[in-house]
Amino acid sequence: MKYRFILPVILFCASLVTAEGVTVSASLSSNKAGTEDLVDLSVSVQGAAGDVQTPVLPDIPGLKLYGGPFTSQNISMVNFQVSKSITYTWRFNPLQEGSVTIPSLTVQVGKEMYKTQPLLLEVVKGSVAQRPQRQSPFGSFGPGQSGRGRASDQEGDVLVRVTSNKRDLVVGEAVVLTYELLTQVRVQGISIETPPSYKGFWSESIDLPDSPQGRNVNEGGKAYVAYTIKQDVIFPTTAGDITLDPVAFRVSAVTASDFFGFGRPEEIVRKTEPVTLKIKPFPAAGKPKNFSGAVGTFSIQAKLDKDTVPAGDAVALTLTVSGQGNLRTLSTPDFPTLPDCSVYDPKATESIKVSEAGLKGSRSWEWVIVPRSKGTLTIPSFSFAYFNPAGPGTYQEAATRALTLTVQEGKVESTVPFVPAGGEEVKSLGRDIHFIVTASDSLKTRTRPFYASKLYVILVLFPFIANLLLFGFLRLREKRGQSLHLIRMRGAGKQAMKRLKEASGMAGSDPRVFFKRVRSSMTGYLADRLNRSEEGLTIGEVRNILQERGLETEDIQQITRTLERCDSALYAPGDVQSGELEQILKTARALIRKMEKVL
Amino acid sequence: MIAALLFSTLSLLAGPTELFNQGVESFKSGDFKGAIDAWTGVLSEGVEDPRVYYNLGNAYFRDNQPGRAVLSYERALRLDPLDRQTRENLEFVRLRLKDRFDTTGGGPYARFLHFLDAHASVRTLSWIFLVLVLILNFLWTAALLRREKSFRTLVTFVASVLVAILLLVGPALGYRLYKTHLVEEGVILSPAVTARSAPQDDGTELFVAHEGTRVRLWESVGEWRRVTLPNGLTGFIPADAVETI
Repeated sequence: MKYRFILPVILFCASLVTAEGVTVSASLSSNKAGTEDLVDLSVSVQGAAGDVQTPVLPDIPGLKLYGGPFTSQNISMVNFQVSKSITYTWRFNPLQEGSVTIPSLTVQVGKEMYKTQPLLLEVVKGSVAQRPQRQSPFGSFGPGQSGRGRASDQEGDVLVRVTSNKRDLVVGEAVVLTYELLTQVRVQGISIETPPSYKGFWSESIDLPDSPQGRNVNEGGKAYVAYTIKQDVIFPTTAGDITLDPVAFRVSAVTASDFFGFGRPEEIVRKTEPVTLKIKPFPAAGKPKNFSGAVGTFSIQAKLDKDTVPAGDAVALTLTVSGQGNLRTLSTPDFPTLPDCSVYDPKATESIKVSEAGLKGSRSWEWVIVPRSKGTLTIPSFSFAYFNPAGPGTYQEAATRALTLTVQEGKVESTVPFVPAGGEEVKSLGRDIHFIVTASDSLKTRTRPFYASKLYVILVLFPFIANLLLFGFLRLREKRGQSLHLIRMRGAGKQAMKRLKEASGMAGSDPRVFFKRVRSSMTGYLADRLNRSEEGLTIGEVRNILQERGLETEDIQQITRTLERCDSALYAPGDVQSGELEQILKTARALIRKMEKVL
Repeated sequence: MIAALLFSTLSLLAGPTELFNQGVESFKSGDFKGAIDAWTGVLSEGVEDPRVYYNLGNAYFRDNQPGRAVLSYERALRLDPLDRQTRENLEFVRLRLKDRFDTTGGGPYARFLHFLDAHASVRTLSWIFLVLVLILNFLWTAALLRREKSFRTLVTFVASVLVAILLLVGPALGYRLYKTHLVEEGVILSPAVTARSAPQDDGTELFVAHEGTRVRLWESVGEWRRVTLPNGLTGFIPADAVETI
């Protein structure tokens, strides 16, 4: 925090004090460099008072800009004199041998322009990188220790090399290329700058352990620690002398050490030497007919997944070629024609391991065979020809034994081809509109919909209205029936008295009419009261009704007696005493009054 | 030109069924404009069949007129709301329209109406309604005329079930009738049309609707029509940019 405040003050002082005495100079880290080296160009401005503009670097032919400008600023104070210096650094990679002239650069300091002197760089092939001697009082880490005191004009203490396990080979034979890093210093990282092209080859990479193990080697009389950085197995596809182009690696090596022995990593580009391989074609002598370019040592095996099968069922035949050689490029063996069988295209599987010994493993083909009719099916032997470069260096042939398959009677004799297993759900491939309707039968014409027709309205409303009317009518009728009953009920007593009066008028002249009137006064009264017909009322019924209505037993008896007397007088007329009629009238009146009260 | 004239005279002479088949042949041979002419001719002869509208929709779609395709499918659905092919084609064409509206949301009532739209036509509902009304009336008559207690109990039970169904069907029919005959809907046919706040060319621009969008139609003011989008936006658009379903 403190320095943030101090620094502007110092800068202010610097601009005040050193108004003159500006020096601008350019320098190279080395006047001689190899094509694999990196060169630093530095422009330093000392004693600058005003603003320093970052110089613009022209395109320099023969040099490839690698990075920069990196700026470093330094402010120093000696005897109260503040001086400020700025250094701009660019890093280059020389492209070709010869000499390169670095032109004069212009630097603007304040309002003044300063020019640097032109520089000359000598470029040689390879590397001239000179590692400074280690000065660390604490020694150093890693393999760098062995690089101490080395002569400056020799090849650098980091190099890469490639070795092939053979130089003379035939087409299709495996070669293992091993790329190694040989170092005398500590290496922090390595990456491929220009990958191998392998033109005319077919290549496979060998998996290497994540942390390579170093081993001590002696190269050119010097001791190095070697690390395997890349290993490829390549198979030539054509004959002839083929030179593999150099492969360049970028190595981040800790070359210089500071006062405390902590390394500063430096990027170096290292190339391998080109490798020439002599590739011979296959010898023509003794070349089998069925040879298809397999090189190595192989064995072959055929297997059926079952020995007996019903006709129409599937059986799988697996052919496996196993061994060491160019397994991946093996072509599918020809399948013999089998009588009355469907044979489906084979499914190839492989299990191959890439190692320093080349490719090792197996490659299999599985055919699905569906025999169509019963019988014994013989699958002839498969033969496999290959060239064995090791040992005799001749063609060899491996063969399977012939296989027999017993085909039983099928469940359903069918010629429908078997669909090999491994189906999957049907997937939608695309979407589109549905197709048009092509049937033109009975095109509907424009009509009023039924619900908008009068008939519909009538059908909905009419039954409802009819029911309403019916309901109303029934209610009305019921009401009228009720009112008639009421009138009848209310008038029952009066009616009865009227009849009794008529009876008394008849008493002298016609006793039969008298009795009839008396009887009907009582039964009529009951019928009116109960709103029913008078005709069906018998004496027994009258008694029952009156009992139900809670009339006193004595009165009921009197009523029944009176009615009986009336009946007997009606149907069997006899002598009638004059006082009796008066008595009956009196009783009837009294009884009707009683009934009026109770009913 | 002459061929076209000849074709049109021929189509005038042919009956609707022949014209329909001509359209099918044209469509099959890839002459979608010919198919459109033929099927439009079928309609002008008084035919109103959902299949014709459906085919027209297909032809318009193939002829790159998505707006008219939507219009035709909507018309087909008015006549036969339950047709799956029409529904799916309409959905398919809608995927290619510029305007999208989310119609899946809404409460249970909105979903019920949506369900009705998809599953019941006015004709079907009206028939169900009529049959229910007739049965209920018959039961009523019977109950009025026969007064036994056990019979009345049975009738009351059956009638209450039917009334419950009627209470579902009745409002649904009402809603459908309202939607079919009282609500005017249309489809936008112009590729893009600007809706304004007033029926004037200098009215404030409210939104831009694109071909194939279904809109609710309101009153006409001169050459303008007030429309409402499914998302509720309302404005005036030129009347010729939209056609009633």
